[in-house]
Amino acid sequence: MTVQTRPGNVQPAEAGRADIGDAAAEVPSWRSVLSRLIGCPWLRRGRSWLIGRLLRERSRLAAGLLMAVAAVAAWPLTVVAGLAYAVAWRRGWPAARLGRLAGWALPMAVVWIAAESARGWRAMTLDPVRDGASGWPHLTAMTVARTFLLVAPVTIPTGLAMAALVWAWRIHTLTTGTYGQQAVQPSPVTASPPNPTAALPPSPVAPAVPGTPTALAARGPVLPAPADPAPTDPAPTDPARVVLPGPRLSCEPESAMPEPVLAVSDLAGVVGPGVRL
Amino acid sequence: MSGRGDRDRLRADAGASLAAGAEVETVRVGQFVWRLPGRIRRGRPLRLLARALAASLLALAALHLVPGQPAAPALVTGLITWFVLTARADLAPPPER
Repeated sequence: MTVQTRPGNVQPAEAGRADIGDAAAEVPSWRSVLSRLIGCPWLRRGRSWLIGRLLRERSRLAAGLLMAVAAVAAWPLTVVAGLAYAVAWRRGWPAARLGRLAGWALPMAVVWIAAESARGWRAMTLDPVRDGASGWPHLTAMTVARTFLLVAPVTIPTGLAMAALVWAWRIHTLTTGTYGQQAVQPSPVTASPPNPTAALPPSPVAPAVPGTPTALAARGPVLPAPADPAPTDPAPTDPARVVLPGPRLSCEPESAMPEPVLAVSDLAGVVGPGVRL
Repeated sequence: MSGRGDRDRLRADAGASLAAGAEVETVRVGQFVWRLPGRIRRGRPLRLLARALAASLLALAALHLVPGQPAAPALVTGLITWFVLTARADLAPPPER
């Protein structure tokens, strides 16, 4: 069955791409010439697209820089989490194993908390930060090792737990296919390539009654209609409203069942514009 | 009256079952300790010794690097936990397995 939700509706990107393609085929603009010269195909897409792209890239860069600064500042945690992640990846551990290891590292943290609480709660909250920053002025192997050991009772369980979470997320995204460049693209099963006739203006002909040859021709091949459709079928006035042969919606015995019911479905809100079913 | 009697009986039963559970646990721990030398002998004793040596040296190094800090006992606890968890693999399986 072919359903065209809104005949005149087409995605702006598709339309823009089609227009640009046509324009480039007829008269090459300075942008297309420049893009070909310097090898940047995105240059001919327009200024607003370019500004949006630059903003997106910049925000992504800023987020990456922020993450890098945080990772360097909390380097013992980064080291533990990175090592645990690498070991889990290399040996194919499940994320639960890292979580169990984090649980087994908790006695260390408990002893550390007990020893720190003897000094007072303020010392306990500030000591990890102070110890973590103590190695920066004199960066030698000994100070680095000492700094790592000072904060290890906190960073080892936390790092293992973080690695377990990240590894679980990674496995989940790999399993469900929701990660990477291909993840956001629609599946070829649910969406067809852009319809070249969709860019045309809507036909001035009034919407036809479902089941008539006009309606069938306008909407492509349709499943065979019921033998005797009910006379009270609502005629769709909106082109987005499509009549689908629906299931029997009654629980009455087979003998008392009416003829197949027609279900009217408004697919405009369910399926995106230009999508064929 | 009968309710109080039932409660007392239930309490006595619970106490008896707890005592029995503790006894079973004691027997289990005793068996484990009693069988440990044999399991070490029949397992991988050299590897276990190397593991114990590594844990001891690491604990000494940690105590030397962070003396008097709250992290020192925590690190020793972590090393003991690591040794107990990993040393099981170097023991021979118990006789009933």
